Amino acid sequence: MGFYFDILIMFEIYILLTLGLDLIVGFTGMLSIGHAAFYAVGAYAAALLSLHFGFSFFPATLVAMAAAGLLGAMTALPASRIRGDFLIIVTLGLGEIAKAVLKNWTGVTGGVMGLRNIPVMQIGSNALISDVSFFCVETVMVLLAFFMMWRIKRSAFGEALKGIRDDELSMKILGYNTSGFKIAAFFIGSALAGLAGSLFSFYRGYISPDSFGLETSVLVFCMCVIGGMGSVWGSIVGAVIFWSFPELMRLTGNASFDAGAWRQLILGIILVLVMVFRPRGILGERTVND
Amino acid sequence: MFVEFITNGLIAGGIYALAALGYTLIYGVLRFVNFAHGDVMMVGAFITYLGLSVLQIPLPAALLLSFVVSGILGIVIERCAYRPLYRISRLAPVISSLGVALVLRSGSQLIFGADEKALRNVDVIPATVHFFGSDIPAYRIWILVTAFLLMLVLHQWISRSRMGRAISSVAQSPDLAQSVGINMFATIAGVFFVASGIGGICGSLVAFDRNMDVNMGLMLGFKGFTASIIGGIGNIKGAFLGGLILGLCENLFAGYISTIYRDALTFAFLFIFLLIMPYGLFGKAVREA
Repeated sequence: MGFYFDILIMFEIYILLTLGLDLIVGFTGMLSIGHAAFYAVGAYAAALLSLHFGFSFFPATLVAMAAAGLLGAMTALPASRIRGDFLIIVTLGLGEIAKAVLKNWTGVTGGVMGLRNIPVMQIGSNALISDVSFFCVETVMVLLAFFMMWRIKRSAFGEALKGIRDDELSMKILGYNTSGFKIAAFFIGSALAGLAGSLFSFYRGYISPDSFGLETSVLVFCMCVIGGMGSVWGSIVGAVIFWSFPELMRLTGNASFDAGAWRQLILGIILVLVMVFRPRGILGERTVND
Repeated sequence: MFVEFITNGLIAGGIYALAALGYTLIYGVLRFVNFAHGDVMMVGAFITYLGLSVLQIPLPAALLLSFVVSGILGIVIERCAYRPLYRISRLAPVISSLGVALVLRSGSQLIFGADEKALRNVDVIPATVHFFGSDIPAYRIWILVTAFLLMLVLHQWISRSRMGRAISSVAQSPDLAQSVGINMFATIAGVFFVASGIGGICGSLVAFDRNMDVNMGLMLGFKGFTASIIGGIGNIKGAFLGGLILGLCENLFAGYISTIYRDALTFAFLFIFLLIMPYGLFGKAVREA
C-alpha cells in the first residue's frame, strides 16, 4: 500500500506545480521553463524554517509560498518587457542559476548533500507519520488550490489574463495594466509551486538540488501544455499522464532500462504531436485565433 | 597571458558565432527561436564522432558528413515539427521545438549513452605553435581557422548567391518575396539545411576542443543564442560580431576576474541586452508577425 500512496502524494505535488504553471503559461501565455526554481525556493524555505527556527507545517508553508511568490514576481518584472519566446531562455537561466546557488551555497543549503532530518508534519499535537494521513492533508490543499484556480478562470482577473495571452496590445489599448497582471499571475503561480515545495520537504524529510533541475521544469511544462493550456482539468490530465508513466514502467520491473531517457523521448514526441494536432492541448479551450 | 586570453577568446568567439548564426538565420526568416538548435549541434558532434570512430574516415570527410547529416536533420525537423504550425500561433512552433530538443537529447542518450566522449586524437595534443611568446596547441589554431573560414564562406554565400539573396528577401518581407516568385518553403528548407549543417560543424569543433556528451547542446545553444541577441537576432553580421564579443569578454573575464562565474557573465549579458537593448547592437526593431 505504501508504494501506491507514495505515487499519489508525488502525483498531487505535481498537480500543484502544474496548476501554478498553468496560470503563467496557459492563462497568460508567458512561456516559462524555470518552474523548478520556485518549487526549490518553497522546499528550501520550509525546510530551513522548520530545521533552524522550529516552525511547524502551516507557518513554514505560508512563508515558503510568500518567498516563492516574491521570486516569481521579481521574474515577472523583466518578463513583462521581454517577448514571449525570449522569456523561455530567461526562465531557463533562472532555473540554472537557482540550481547553481543550491549546489554552491553550502553553509545554508547543504550543497549537493542537501538538507536532512526535516521534522514530520505536525497539526496541533498530532504528528502525521503515516503516508495516508499526509495524503489526506495534501488532498485538502490540492482541492483548495483547484477551487482557487477554478474561481480565477471564471473571474474578471482570469479573463484579463487570457486577453493578455491572446492579444496584449489590445488589452493595453483597453486600459489594462498588463505588466501588473503578468506580475500577479507569476506571483500566484509561483506561490503554488512554493506550496508544492513545502509539502515535498515535509513529506520526504530530506531535499537535495537533484529534485529541482531542468528535468523537473521541463516535465511540469510538458504536463501543462499537453494537458491543455488554460484548462484547469487539463493540468490534472497532464499530471496523470506523466506522473503515472515512469511509475508504470517501474511496476513492470525491468531494471536495466533507462526510464528517464525513455520518458523524455516519449514526452518530446507527444509534445510535438500535440502541437501539430491539438495546439491548445488535450483539454485546452479554443480561442479566437484558432 | 593576454595573448593567450585573446586567442582563447577568438576560438570561443568563432564557435559562438557559428552557433549564433543558426539562431539568427532561422529567426530571420521565421521569427521564431528554434530551441532544438543546441541539440542539433550536439547530434552533429556525434555524427563526426561516428565518422571518425566507426567509419574511420579522415577528419575533413567526417566534418562534411556531419554537415550533410545535420543539415538533412534540420530539414526533416522543419518539415515534420514546425511547418504545420506556422499558421496556428506564434508560440506553437516554439513549444514544438522544445519537444524536438527533448527527443534529440534523450534519443542520443539512448543510442550513445550518457558518458563523456573524446573526439580529439590524443597524439595531436603535443604539437604547439609559438605565437607572440605563448604556446598554443596546433589543433586550436585549426579550430580557429575553420570557424573563420566558414564565417567568410557563409557571408559570401548569403550576399552573393541566389539562395542567399532569397533568404535575405524572405527575412525582410515574406509577402513581397513571395509575390516576386521566391519559393517560400524551399527557402525555409534551405535555411534549415545551412543553419543545421553549420551547427553540426560547430558542435564538432566544440567537441574537438573539449570533450562531448549528450547534454553539451544546452550550454552551447545558450551561448549561441546569447551571441545572436548581442548582435541583434535576425542580423547575420550581428551574429558574427556578437559571437566574437561574447567569446572575448568571457575569456578576458575568466582570465582576469573569475573562472567560476564565467557562465554567469553570459546570463548577465543576456538579461542586460534583452531588457535594455532587445534588438542588440546591430539589429533594428523587427516586425512582430
